[in-house]
Amino acid sequence: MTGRRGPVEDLKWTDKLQASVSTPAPMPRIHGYDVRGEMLGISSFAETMFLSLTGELPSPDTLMAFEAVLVFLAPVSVAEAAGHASLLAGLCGSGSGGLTGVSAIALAERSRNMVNEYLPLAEAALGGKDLPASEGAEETRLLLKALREAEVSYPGKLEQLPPPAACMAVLMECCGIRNRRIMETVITLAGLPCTLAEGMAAKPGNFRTYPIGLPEYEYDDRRT
Amino acid sequence: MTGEPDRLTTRVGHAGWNDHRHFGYSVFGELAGTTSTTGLIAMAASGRKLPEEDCRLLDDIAVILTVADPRIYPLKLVRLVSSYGDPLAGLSAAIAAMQGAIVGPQISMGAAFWLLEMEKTVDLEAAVARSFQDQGRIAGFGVPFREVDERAVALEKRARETGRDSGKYWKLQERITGIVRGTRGLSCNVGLPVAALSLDMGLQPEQLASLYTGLTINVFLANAVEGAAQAPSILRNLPDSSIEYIGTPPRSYPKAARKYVN
Repeated sequence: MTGRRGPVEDLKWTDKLQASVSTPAPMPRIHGYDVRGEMLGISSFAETMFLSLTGELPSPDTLMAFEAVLVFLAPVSVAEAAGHASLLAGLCGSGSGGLTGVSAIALAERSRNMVNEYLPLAEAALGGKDLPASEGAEETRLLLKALREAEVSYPGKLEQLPPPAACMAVLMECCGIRNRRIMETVITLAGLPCTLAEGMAAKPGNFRTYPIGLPEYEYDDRRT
Repeated sequence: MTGEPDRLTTRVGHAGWNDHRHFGYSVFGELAGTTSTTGLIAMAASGRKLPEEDCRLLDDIAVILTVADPRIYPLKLVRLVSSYGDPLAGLSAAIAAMQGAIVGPQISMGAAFWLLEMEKTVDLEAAVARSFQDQGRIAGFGVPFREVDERAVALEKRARETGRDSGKYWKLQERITGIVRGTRGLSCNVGLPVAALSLDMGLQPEQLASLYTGLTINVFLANAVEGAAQAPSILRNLPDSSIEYIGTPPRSYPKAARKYVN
């Protein structure tokens, strides 16, 4: 840089970029497993996702529970901020980078908020605390029924939980996912395809189909 | 949603037919011609129109915070994302990466909260010592890779030149800086004087991360624009020889044996 000196020139730095998860192509490995040579054709995307996030392969029961949670959490309504934001990005004609960025950030915020709100409930249920039936508990029972039908055992006292808390409890107990950041990421990734699709379904520039007054805003013209 | 009104309120803006409103001002009639970009950004973060002399101070701070070397971590991130040719992708990524980060504008916010906490104490020296003991790391202290944060020095000089060195929080940060230098041999980074000047302007700590992200966006933008124009293939894909894999060593996929049975 034109002979100028600064910390980058004058201090000693490593010259290698460290990779912890994936080895570079060709024949890349994820956490040591040969993806294209051995996993391809056998491993599901959910299994590969689990491996990437946790560093280990799931057992069959763990994978079943993980997939059940992913499927359960896949729908994201346009009523939710993430779906709505994605739709607006689509309406504004955002490119795939913009659409993905908007959807992923909104979903990640939603996940962080969900974990803040529901993780204590999930932990209380796993700790054996009796909880009153929550709103949405009938949907929770559908998740648990799917697990039972797949012969995946899960701890008791989950039936009364609201769906997000039940998913977190299943991720913790059946999948061993206790790291909060991984949990948030799983919830985000589960909803990403549906959220993106909502944005892609919107016709760029079709603004008259958008209810601009929903919800209503009132402008307060006072100055601070 | 219970307890929330059916209608949301906003002070930010209203789109009219012939003019628009922004925080209680007519955009064309009152803000145009009288308000700088800095003034608009400060208004966006604080909800109020700052006096001109405060906007000039914010300009000084923004200029002093301009360290735009593309090798610095968040700026390298901008370069990487821009390397496919779209500056806005790089800019968006940069702003996203600042959320909750331990570098960048969050530091002034953390330092401002801490200054308010220290202001309430009777024995400042003991309170500072306790903070370091309890938290280990205090936003506003610690200068990576060098002895002194040259931006803090430049800002101190500018504060003296503009008479901003007599503010309550400026004086407090000077006392604290002296205590920490004497007891721990640590110097402050630019986050602490920025926080002090901001508090002396009447800004709130929670406004600072957004404010300084807005005011220093030039640094991200410059890297995004140049990075997108260059779109260098070296950034899109580094040579394998520059990567060191430190993860789990190769192992066999257990189900692979089954794949080849038949």
